[in-house]
Amino acid sequence: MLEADGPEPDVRTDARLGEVLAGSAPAGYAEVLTGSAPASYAEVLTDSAPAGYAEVLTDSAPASYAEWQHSGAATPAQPPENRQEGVLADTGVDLDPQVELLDRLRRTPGLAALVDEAVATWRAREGTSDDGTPGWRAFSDAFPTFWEFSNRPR
Amino acid sequence: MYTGLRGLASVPSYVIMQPTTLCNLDCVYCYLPHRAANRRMTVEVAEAVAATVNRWAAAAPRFSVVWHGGEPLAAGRDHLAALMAPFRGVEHHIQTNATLIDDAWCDFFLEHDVHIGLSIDGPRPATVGRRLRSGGEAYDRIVAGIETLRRRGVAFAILAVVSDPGPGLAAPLYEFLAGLGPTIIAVNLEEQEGTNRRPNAYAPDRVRAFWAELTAAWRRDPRVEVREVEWALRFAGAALAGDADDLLPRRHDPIPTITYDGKVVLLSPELAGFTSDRYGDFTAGSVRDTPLDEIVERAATHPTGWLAEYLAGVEACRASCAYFGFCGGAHAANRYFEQGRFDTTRTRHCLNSRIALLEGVLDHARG
Repeated sequence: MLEADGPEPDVRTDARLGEVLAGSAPAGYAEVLTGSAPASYAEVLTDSAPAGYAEVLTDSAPASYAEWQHSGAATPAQPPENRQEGVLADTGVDLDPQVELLDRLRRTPGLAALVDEAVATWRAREGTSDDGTPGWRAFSDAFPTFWEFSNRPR
Repeated sequence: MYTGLRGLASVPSYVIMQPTTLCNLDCVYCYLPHRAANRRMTVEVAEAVAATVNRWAAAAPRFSVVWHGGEPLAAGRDHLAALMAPFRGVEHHIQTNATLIDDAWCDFFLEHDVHIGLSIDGPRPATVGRRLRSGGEAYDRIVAGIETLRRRGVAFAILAVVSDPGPGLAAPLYEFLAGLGPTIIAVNLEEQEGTNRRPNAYAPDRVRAFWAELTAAWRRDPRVEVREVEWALRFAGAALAGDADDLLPRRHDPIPTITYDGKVVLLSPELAGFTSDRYGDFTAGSVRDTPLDEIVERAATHPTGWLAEYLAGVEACRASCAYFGFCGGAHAANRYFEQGRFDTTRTRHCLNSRIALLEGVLDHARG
């Protein structure tokens, strides 16, 4: 219970997750949560989902992102669906969505030109260093509180 | 595939100090508990923090001390100066609502070389959520504070909260905020956290349209840095260059927040002041009885409780989310206040402020 004057946050009620957290989940579910389960187990967990729903939730199909926006299936308006989404997002992936996202970025028309313009802006803003790299401004100059990262060169 | 953000660093790059819990405003979306109470940090607490921070700062190129409330200026100039006095070799930052800024405060900022971040949400209709304790709008006082800063030549950054993102908002927002003359603009979509339980389940297509429009506005006139858009473009540039994995820090900055009474909350300042049956008060210790470096080192090397659960949640994000390389995992406070736990993955904050952001930038690029 929160002591402060805010309400207590919702507690997840997904039964299987609760079992895992309590140590009584069926074998294999913990592995799913840690991403080490066989692909088929993730399929079992999503048996009851509408066709394509698991793909949307795990971002395994970039093209489906637009569909997801309009499908309403994963609209984060209803807390129970949010909880389900969180669980399903934990269930490992058949494909590598991170590789697919990077590939999608590389194939996005106009993105390279936009990035080039941004780099030109950064160079103009801070000048150009001797090695030609943009002189990144540090976001943390202004907002060390609100961003996990700085954009300082590492 | 991403290798960054594994575990906690044992030395932060900044600390957050709560000089008072009090805020003279009562904004409709504020997450802070105890903001009506004036619980002030003692100089002894600041000295205890400085004992560690001064060593950290001496060993780092830059180290920041962020004064964050409540409203830090509500602590008063004399008291804030006394709290700052023990620190050496640090950059001081103040995040303020700007309503108390006058010439005397500008003198203070210049004397202490303070970096200013202030909050305004756009033109008057967009800033209607910022409220005086009397219930009236704070807009005029905020603008008066900004005008004073400008007249005195004090640089400032702007943090804007957008409560209902959608088409048609971003371009006039950028035009207005850029016209105020900040060094940088940051846009936070309202989050459901702390004492703020207002819904933020926005329609994804509207959020994407907002970010796309903000990108377009910035592209037309990139005179002011826009944190979210430029971070997304930096990720996009790294992706195109094939070095996206170089962007994330290797470890999480522990971001120690020191509350008015010396307690230390790591990672998420939004958790300060709350307790739960499951996680206690979220603190990692108190500088009143343990040096800050010991508290952070212990948490980094042997994370327990909610910190360990959060780190497991980060690994779940790494294993499951396409956008991990861009965001580094859902933030701790968003996980907790939206879902009641820390080992969950995607939050509404992820959807609104990370995924829709990147997708909105891509939408703009496609034209």
